Amino acid sequence: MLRTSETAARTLIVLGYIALSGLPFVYALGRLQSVTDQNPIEAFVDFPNAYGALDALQFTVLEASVSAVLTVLIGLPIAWNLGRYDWRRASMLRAIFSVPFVMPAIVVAMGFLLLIDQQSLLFTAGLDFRTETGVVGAFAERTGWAHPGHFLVLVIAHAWFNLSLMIRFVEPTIARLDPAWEEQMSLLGQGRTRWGRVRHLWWPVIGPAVLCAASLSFLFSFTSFALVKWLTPFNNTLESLMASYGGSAGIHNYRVDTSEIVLSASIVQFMILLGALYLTSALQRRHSSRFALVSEHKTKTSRGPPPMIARMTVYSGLVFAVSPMLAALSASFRVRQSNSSGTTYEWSMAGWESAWSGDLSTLSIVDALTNSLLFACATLAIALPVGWLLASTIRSLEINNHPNFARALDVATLLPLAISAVMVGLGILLGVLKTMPSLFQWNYLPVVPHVILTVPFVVRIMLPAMRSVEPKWKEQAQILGLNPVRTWYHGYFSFVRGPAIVASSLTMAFSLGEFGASWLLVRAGSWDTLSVLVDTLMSRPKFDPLVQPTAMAAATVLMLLTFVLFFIAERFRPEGDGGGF
Amino acid sequence: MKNNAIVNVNNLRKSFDSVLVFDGLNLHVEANEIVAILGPSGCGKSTLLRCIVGLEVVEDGELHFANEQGSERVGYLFQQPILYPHLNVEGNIALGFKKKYNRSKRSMIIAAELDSVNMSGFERRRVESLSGGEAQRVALIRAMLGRPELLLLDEPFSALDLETRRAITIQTRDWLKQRKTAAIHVTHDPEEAALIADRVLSWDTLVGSTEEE
Repeated sequence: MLRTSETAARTLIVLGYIALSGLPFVYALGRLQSVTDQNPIEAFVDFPNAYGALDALQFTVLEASVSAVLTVLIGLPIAWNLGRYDWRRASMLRAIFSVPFVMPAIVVAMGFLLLIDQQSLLFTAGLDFRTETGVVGAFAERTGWAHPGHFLVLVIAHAWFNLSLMIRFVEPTIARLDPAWEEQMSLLGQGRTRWGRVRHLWWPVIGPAVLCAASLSFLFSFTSFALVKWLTPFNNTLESLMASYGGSAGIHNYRVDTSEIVLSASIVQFMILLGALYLTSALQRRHSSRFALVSEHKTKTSRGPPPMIARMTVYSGLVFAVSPMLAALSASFRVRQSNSSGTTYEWSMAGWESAWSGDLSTLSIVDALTNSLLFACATLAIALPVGWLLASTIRSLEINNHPNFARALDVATLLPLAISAVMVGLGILLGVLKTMPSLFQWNYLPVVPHVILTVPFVVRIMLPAMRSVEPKWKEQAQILGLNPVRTWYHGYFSFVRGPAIVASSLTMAFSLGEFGASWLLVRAGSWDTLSVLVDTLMSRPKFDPLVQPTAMAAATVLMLLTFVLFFIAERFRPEGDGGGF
Repeated sequence: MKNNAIVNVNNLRKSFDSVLVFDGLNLHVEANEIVAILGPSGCGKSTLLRCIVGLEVVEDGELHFANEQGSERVGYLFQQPILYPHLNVEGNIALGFKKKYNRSKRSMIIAAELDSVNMSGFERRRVESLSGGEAQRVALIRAMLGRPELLLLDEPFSALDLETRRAITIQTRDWLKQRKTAAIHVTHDPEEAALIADRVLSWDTLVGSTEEE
């Protein structure tokens, strides 16, 4: 009886989640189809004719591909050196390199804008990426490439953002591979040279992880929105194209062309992302534990402290990782002063005071923070149990010899990653709200996309932990005569508690920093989140010298909050945890 | 350097941090000679082999190889056979080649080697499916493909059952003799040492002024 009701509850949750994540998209497609009188295949075929769509696709594929390659080029040497040597405070270094991934994109965008503005070191060194004069301008003129500076900054920002993917996926394998494997290879005919060892040992070992991180990097760069919106304002990606036309799409007999653009772009984007996701999933299965992993302590002590070149690589990476964040922090204290003799900057708390009072926006930083935290808590309250149940259902299917069902559900939980934040927001906006407009008055509406977007991360974190719990622990507890609650606690929960805390912290961090869906759905002003507040402030004309410091103060609060959540998560992360988020 | 010695170890010293492993260690191995070193677990036998092959840096003393290529002509068989799971049996063995061969030639050589240890038809097998003895034979074939002048055997048969251990020890000795390869075999099992070696040395006798039989 208990088993039947448990199965029924699981089935209900699984179906509910699939409906929740798929319905807005399906609803939106239905709505757009009825407005444009096109089915998805017609929309796909018609894609090249949609205004700006082909340019957006080309730009998206180019920036995502270059970003993925750059992520590997920057991340791999750092992961390699971090994994190979015995670093003092290694966990702190790892945490700093992982922070960018959970940083709100809007904060990152602001940080990079500051790194290239006219008071920056790069500008002083003659590299003007923003207005594209000097070397960058000359390059643009010679090649005929419009705005190469903006493009370069965008792909570097994406590489910064995705750096932690390389660290999380690749570094643990490097750090924990049995040193005897490398020793054995170096003693064999084909492994005597460095290239031979790379070809026959290192690439087979870390190659799938590198490709997996690269394909995820491609996926996230493909759907990046805030960075594109702020760093390459002259170019559209599919995501920003849909966002800019989304407001007028889905309305009968009004700007039908925008509905056509959104429909065809969403179909093309969905198909490409599905392909990337399939690739990621296949690579993730190959990135398995076939290799002899040992304690990190054993491998690292055998290789000793890092040599100079490793220290230079990792410390340069550290500077790269913290620069945008420090730039945002310092800009919150710098206020522009203009007078007859020119423009100067002074250190001041005025930006923070303005943010606190809310003089320049519809709400103060405290109100926006409260909204963000309320959304994050509500998201956590739903996403954690749903994700937990989904993960345990997959695990239960695996244990009960239903590997195909388990794999299908595993892939289904990843699907929201193929439906980007803007697409989810648009789905709700175009589909649900145009059918049930009263929902627009519901202040907690952004929680819906936040749940859809964070559940895959909860599943990704909880599932490996659940797989690692061996039945013997529960059996031992039962043999010892513990009651069912204590048996569950000692034989199961104590093994998944750490990952559950990691999942909770990251869920809250992602919800706090989520921008694309919130930007589309938060319209009421008084329910603005911190990320929307930063965007609103930065979108204002900069005549008032306090606009930028106020926006940066809001960005700094968001950054610090994410930092705190991330460090809580890091404390509970199991040793050598890798291959996931 | 003693006459005809393939490797000569004089007054070798090695320690880890402040823990001394051995000091004043002397050993020589002649061409085609199989030497067994008997000693208890943890005495430093493996460290000595790692020093000879260059996996550990020696602190003091001298290591002379008859061949100019030094430790490059030395093969090594680990206690646990290290076979790479991303390659099948043939792929693992092929790692031992120093020269480049075309695919068919390579397969032919490997098939012949497998046949010589009664493992015909194992080329495409996954390494995870091999028994301990089979895996160690594969590792042995791979180590020998590089045509080493000296093979170091670091208790490679200690994890095998008694019967398999005896069989593989005798087979290894025959192999080494056929190919005229010298070897240093370290073990804590006197029977195994007697089965494989031309000369059996006790660890205690190595660490002193001169080595004794």
